[in-house]
Amino acid sequence: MNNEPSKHRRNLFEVDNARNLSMHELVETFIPTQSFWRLLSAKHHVVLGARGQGKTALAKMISHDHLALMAHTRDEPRAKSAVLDQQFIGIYLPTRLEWVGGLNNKPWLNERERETFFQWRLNIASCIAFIPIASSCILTYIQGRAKQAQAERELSQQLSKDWLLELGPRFGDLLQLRRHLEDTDYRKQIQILRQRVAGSLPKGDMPEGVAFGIELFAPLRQGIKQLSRLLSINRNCAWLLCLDEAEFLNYTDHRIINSHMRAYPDNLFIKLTTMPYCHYTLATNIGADLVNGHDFEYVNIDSDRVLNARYTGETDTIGTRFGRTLFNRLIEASDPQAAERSGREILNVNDFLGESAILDQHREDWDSSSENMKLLEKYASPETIARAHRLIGTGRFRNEISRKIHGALLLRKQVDELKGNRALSAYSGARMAIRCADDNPRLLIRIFNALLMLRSREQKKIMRVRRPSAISPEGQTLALRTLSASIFNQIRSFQDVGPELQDFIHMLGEYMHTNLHEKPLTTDQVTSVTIDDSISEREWKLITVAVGHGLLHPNVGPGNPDEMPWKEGTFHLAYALAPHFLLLPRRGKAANLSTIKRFYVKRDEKKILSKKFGPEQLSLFDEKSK
Amino acid sequence: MKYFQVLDIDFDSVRNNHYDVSLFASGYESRCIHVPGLIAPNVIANPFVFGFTEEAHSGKREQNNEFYIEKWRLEPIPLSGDDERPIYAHLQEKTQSLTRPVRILIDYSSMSRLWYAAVLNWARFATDKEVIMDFIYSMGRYEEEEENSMVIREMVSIPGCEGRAYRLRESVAVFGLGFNGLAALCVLDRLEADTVYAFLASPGSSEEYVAKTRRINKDLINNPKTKAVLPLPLASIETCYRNLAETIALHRPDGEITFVPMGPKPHILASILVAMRFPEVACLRVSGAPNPADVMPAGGIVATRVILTGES
Repeated sequence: MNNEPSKHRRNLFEVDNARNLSMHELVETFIPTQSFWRLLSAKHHVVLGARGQGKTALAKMISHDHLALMAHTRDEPRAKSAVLDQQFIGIYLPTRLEWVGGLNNKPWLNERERETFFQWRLNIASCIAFIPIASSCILTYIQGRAKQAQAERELSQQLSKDWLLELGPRFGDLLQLRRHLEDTDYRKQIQILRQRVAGSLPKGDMPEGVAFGIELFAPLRQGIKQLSRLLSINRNCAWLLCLDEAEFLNYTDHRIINSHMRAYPDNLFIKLTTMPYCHYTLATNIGADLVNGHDFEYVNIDSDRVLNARYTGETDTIGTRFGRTLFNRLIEASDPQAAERSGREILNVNDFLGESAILDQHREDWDSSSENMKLLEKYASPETIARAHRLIGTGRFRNEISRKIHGALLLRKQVDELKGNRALSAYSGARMAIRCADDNPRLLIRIFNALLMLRSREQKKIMRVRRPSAISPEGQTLALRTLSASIFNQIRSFQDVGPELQDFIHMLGEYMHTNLHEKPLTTDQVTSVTIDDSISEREWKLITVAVGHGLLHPNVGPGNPDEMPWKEGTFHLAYALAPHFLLLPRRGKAANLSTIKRFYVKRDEKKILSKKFGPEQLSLFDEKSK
Repeated sequence: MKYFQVLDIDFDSVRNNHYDVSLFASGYESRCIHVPGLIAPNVIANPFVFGFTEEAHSGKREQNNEFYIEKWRLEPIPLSGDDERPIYAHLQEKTQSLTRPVRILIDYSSMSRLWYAAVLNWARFATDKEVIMDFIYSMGRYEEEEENSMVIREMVSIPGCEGRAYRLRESVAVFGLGFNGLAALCVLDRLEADTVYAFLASPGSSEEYVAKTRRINKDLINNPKTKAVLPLPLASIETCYRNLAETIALHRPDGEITFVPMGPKPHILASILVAMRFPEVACLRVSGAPNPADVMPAGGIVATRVILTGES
């Protein structure tokens, strides 16, 4: 196997998507999570994760070529035994927008024809996806180049016979076979269109890819059988077909895949990745619905313990550790000689961004004449002030008062004093950057990249940093606020619900902003919204889309981490939006949706009155974002 | 195998030409009738007007219908912007008896891209005759806000432009920039391409529109994945076609290349032509909810001749 990484290194902070990483880059930077190891099992799984949460990385890493490289280059005993003992062989099959775009552009097909075409296409796509995995298996399980070439030729010829039928060509290598299958898929598209345009196929034209017009995954099974026979693969090996990005498929497509999960108890297991609330049905074509826990299991990677810390209640450790590890891996993979050149340890995220004045715990001065106490007396509610005075000097003061309110006081003061050329510095520091990524690897990389780009604009080389924080807190804040605003602005063009969803998120953010900046502070800030089953269908739809895009996060309990709440529960606003709404990215209390809506209506009425009778008010955030 | 030839022509040659079939559209925009108003009905043997079934009473639709009835003696044939089948039947019926090259005129200024792609697909797959298609576009003047806030309804391939959705190498997205900056970003987010190119109409129908397009799309233009932003003339599809083909040459045949034209229609046509020319290139149709804003003719006309020869 060619395990040598390319000598050419690129800046991996610019690649925020596992889809665009080479195999070596992904293997080098991948951080195995609990969900990853769970997926290496002989079970059907539906993997749920918001956009950017790492579904594609998991699915690609399960595929045999990636896992084999991981087993070879990293100290991961579980990966080694999975590959060397032939316990699992994974196949990665993305159902991307481009693929689905050629499936859904034929509205003239009736439901039956559409199903048949989907099945045909998934069959040929799974065989195309099988080919690089077959190559990887040959390279891993056969020693010697000559024997490997011979095995490849035998397999190619056998698969040509099975997949291209008796009259088809016989290919001597797998790449040629793969190209032929791709061409077949293209010609099939043209054939369907030609039938539409001309009413029929020209005389003598045979339907393309007849061998794939049979039951779902039968051609793939045949391929697996031939390869297993040729390489004497362990009989108990579980073959894992990772169908990535299934949110682009539709209800009927999911039903067809469900039918396979329900009906086939053999050694081919489906790992379907999709966004939360985007496993569209449990229905099958065989009259019995899928049963969660019996036919398959959900894996909710948004609640992965390695990525976040929701179960432990300790929000400052595990999630942060993931962010710090990812930063280091990206630095190492982008520039492995950097440490040697600089003669010091590789830069870590703390050197790079410094501490967060708002989130990091410091020894604070809370004397009666201290700045902190003055702020508390200025902004806190009378009850909170009274409780603080009661507890000061006791051990409980730190836990019950200062730890909870200090960040909010500092943020409110900064925003309050924002005038003229003064700039905010609140959204700075390593902990803040990582927190604002919501445990989402893609967002984390985007944030790191935005900050690195800012740093390079300040013309400082990354490895020559000597001062504690390479980028000014004001610069960091500006970068995080820009990114946060861009996340918010982009909501407007989301498919089907864009403007409505943006208004909805704006309503939540504005409510939370008002609570933090205009009302007396308590030790708990509102950062979540609670809904119950009285929620309208439309609002529920907005919440599900927001969860899918990582704009809201459901509070899931340790007892049922894989279960997504249905029309009731508590959802916290993404910390990624905190800089835009000037909120504290910290778990606080929840307000009921109906309360938030009432506030919003009242606020609108006030605005209308003010427009009618008084000077026009500036919008809430324009003046603050100077 | 069919061979494409794409040529810029001048509008006078169109006015002096004779056509076997013409396709016009009636919708809510004023410019629907600009080109048909400049052409004499007697140069076209079989003219057709298709009237959008969507927004059938919005904007200038009724005046446009009346124009076609008065000048062309044609009642618009109702057709959804998402349907194209009747176009094949009309073309087949009116050209099957011809024993010489077929000449078709298409005014696509206010036409659904499915309709004009259908004419190209008909020429590709339904006839072995040489087909000469003159595509005419009337430049528009928009009286709109700074940016259109299009809510994406669907992202699918244009029929006949599915490309090859299995890549051996990198994925490449080529964006035609228009006034929907956020929607373009949303598609970029979905496509997750390794490499991005963008092109915009420059020179366009006005200098102001060039600056506006750059302003609205600054996030996509400044995206680290965007390798180049190509200014391509609105008035020359021949140049656009050649430049776009050269731009993607580096990534063919193993890259997975997707065009996402969101700018003016001549650039959409150029993208469709490139996708039809190269099997590995896809062209996506990003559609939103209808926004029945009027578009007035700005005066300029882009005329393009596409010649298809060879056996289907």
